[in-house]
Amino acid sequence: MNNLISHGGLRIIAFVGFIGLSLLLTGWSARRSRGTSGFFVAGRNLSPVQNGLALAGDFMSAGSFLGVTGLVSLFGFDGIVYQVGFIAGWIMIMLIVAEPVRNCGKYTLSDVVAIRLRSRGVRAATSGSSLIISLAYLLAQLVGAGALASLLLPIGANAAIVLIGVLMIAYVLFGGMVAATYVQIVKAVLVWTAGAVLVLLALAHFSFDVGALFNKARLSSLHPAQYFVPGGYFKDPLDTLSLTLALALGTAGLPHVMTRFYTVPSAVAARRSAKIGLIVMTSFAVMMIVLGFSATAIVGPAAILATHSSGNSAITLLATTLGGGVGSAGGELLLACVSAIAFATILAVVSGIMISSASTISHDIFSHLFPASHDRERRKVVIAKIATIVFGMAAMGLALLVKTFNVAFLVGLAFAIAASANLPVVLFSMYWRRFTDRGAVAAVLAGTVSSIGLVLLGPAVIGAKGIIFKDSTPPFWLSNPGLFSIPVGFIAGWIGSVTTRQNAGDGSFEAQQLRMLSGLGAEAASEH
Amino acid sequence: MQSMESINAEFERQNGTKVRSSGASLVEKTQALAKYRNHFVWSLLYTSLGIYFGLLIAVLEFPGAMSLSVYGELNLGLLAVAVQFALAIATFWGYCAWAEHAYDPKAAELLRSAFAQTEGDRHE
Repeated sequence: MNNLISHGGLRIIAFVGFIGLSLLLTGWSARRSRGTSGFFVAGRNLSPVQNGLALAGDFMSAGSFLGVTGLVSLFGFDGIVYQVGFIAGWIMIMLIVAEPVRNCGKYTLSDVVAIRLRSRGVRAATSGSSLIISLAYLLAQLVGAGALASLLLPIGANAAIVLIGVLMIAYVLFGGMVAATYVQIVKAVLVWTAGAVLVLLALAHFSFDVGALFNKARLSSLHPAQYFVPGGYFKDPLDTLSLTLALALGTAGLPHVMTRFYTVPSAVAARRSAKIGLIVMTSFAVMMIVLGFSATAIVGPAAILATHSSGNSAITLLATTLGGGVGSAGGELLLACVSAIAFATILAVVSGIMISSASTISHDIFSHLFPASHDRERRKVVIAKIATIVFGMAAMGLALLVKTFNVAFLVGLAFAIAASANLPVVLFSMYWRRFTDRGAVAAVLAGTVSSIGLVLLGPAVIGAKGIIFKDSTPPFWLSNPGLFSIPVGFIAGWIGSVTTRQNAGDGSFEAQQLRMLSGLGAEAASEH
Repeated sequence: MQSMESINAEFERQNGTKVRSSGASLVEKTQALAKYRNHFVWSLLYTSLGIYFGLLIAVLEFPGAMSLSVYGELNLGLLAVAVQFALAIATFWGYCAWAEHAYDPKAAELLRSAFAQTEGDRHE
């Protein structure tokens, strides 16, 4: 037993256990994901509870579980800004995106826009931006997985990236959206439960006196006077505003989040799933904040910093301490559970992104831009499976190439493009009569180019904290481009539309409104 | 389910013939419901995001004031964060209550009208 504990054997057992469970789920899912609708959107047969948990799972990423807890533990107040930004993103999703998208779309984000704007240029633009967002997000997750491997498991970064990449491809290849969703659901339940258990143990450590916990956290922190006030981590208020703007508006433009609303039978079910998702993710966000403070109070910032400079190890160190300390059976057991769950969070999130990307490549690019003359539905699934292998391998290869760089900015970039390119197109197409094909292409191009361009010119890439020209001053001073790129996307969409008279009075806007509001013509759930 | 082409054709036809003699047309009913939903939803969204970003800008602009204690370790900054979480939940709860009681019946009525009209057109 001691040998098992001292060599991380429990962690390996927990990790292998989750992989085994997820592969069993994939095998079971394979029978339920037949047909195009079954493969891409789980036949639109998921219940609101299932989809709500899967939506919450997308939010409960390794970034939240490890990264945000680490930031809260080291920098206090500023770590919370991330959590609040993500939650604010759901206000937009719940009110103006979830139900309309369910009624208007079919498999991808481009479908929502294509109801009114049917040119190949619009579909090429929206599918292109969706793929860029997915690749940036996927790359950040895979590189993050490699970095986490050294913290959590006795395997190297390369092995972790390849393992997660292969499993991601396997889930989607054999189980489609059904497997990706059930892996996400299991992970959501596990990660929420783990968070709740750790919060209870941490509170018990302080005899359930929350005030005492907060007081100890502040006094133990690196800068007690600054711990509960802003400015510890984010030094430029404008950059913080730019980041939160992208988080609050970008969530509604993420392709893998939008695709989730197609997996339920109706718009009302989409609303109910968003409601369940919000309850789960808000409670999770609060728990992660409490755990961040608990890590500082119980473990201490010096021990956290000694293991990882960004604080990613805060929750694993807290779990070990709460379980009885390093080498104890309880400590190793909790550490094993937390480590396996952290890996599960990455696996589940990348699988969701993968199925969304495969849908975009197959449905948007091949079926619409290069249509086949016969058997289109069967061809879609075949192409999606090939796309899963090719796109997955490409992401894995890129992740191995750039794993030594700090690519955390890719997550911010994904949100910035989603808010600057996808959101204007989705909102304008659903709510603005005068929106035209030219406006849609202009919004996507301007939003994408400005987001990427400003990041490339900013401190995340150039300068002391960047990747290249470390002795230079970056031409653009903000790390997060949202404050500028989001207005650019919206303004380009507006200018592109008001300078054309296309679509006026053809009834397409009213027809789309009828479908959006009543569900007439919306895609139905498939028969079991 | 109807294709978008047939729905489009119906609206083009109605735009051409204007209002039918049997009262409000499908176009008018759709526009009325869209106006009803947009009025509530966008007002709620502007208010909610306005409060959210207002609190955020206040927190970023006045970091010193955020350290003022409200109760024990709870200061103004942490209170603002708590309000932001509560705001997200309250916004969606308010929306769901409105949608279930006020909007869903109207959407169902619009769907019935659309079905009735397309069925009627088929018999003409």
